[in-house]
Amino acid sequence: MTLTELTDRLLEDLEAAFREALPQIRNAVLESGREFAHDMRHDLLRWQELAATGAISKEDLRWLVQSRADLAKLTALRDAGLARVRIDELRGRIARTIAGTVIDTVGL
Amino acid sequence: MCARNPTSRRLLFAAALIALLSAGCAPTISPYSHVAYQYGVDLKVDALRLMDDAEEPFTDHERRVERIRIELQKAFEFARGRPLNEHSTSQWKIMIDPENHLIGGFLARWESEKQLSRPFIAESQRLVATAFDRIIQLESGKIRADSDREETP
Repeated sequence: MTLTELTDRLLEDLEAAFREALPQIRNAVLESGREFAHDMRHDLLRWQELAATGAISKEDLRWLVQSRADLAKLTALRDAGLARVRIDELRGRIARTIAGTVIDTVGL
Repeated sequence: MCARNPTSRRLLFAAALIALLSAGCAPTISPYSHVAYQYGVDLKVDALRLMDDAEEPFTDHERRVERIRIELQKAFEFARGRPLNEHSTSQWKIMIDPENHLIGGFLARWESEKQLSRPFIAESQRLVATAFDRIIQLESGKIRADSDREETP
């Protein structure tokens, strides 16, 4: 294999690795955002009903809204952490791809 | 000095890429820890069970509250002591802070108001349960050593 063929193959392998990993990261973030918006809307509607019937106080309602905001921070931290995990996995895969391609080419 | 022909450029590119990857291959987040995972699961069960009793006077459960506060603090300190573990540490910090509105805040409110209403407890339990799930999900999503692969879902 010539040097040109080696780098072309490397680039193809890297492109394949990115093509597979990046949509996974994007889809995970979008899915999490959709789930959060859906749950938030349902919670707020239910709490408003509970407050209207007197089942919970206004102070309870305010507290629950703040609790929801704290939960949103934990969700964002989870998503940011899991994105790092995926990036680490991608970097590991790229390193293995490069090593594998070079070793194949050199014939080790 | 510039490499002008395509072959030299490719060679330089490949060398730079390999150098970059070799330098940057250290992980950016801590690996999975079974101890951290277990803290999350155990404390979720214990916290939800304790919250269930918040309709009763706080003084009747003061010892249990103190015990779980200590366990929560241990989980936070364990997370804080691990390298590259800022995300999990921040999660625990928010979770246990009495000024916030998850388990730490709930216990503080129970203490200051003496008793809480059933509908409020039920709604808080749902949020706190999900908050523990977020901590557990982050931990279980981390890269595992081979010895950890079969231990947890």
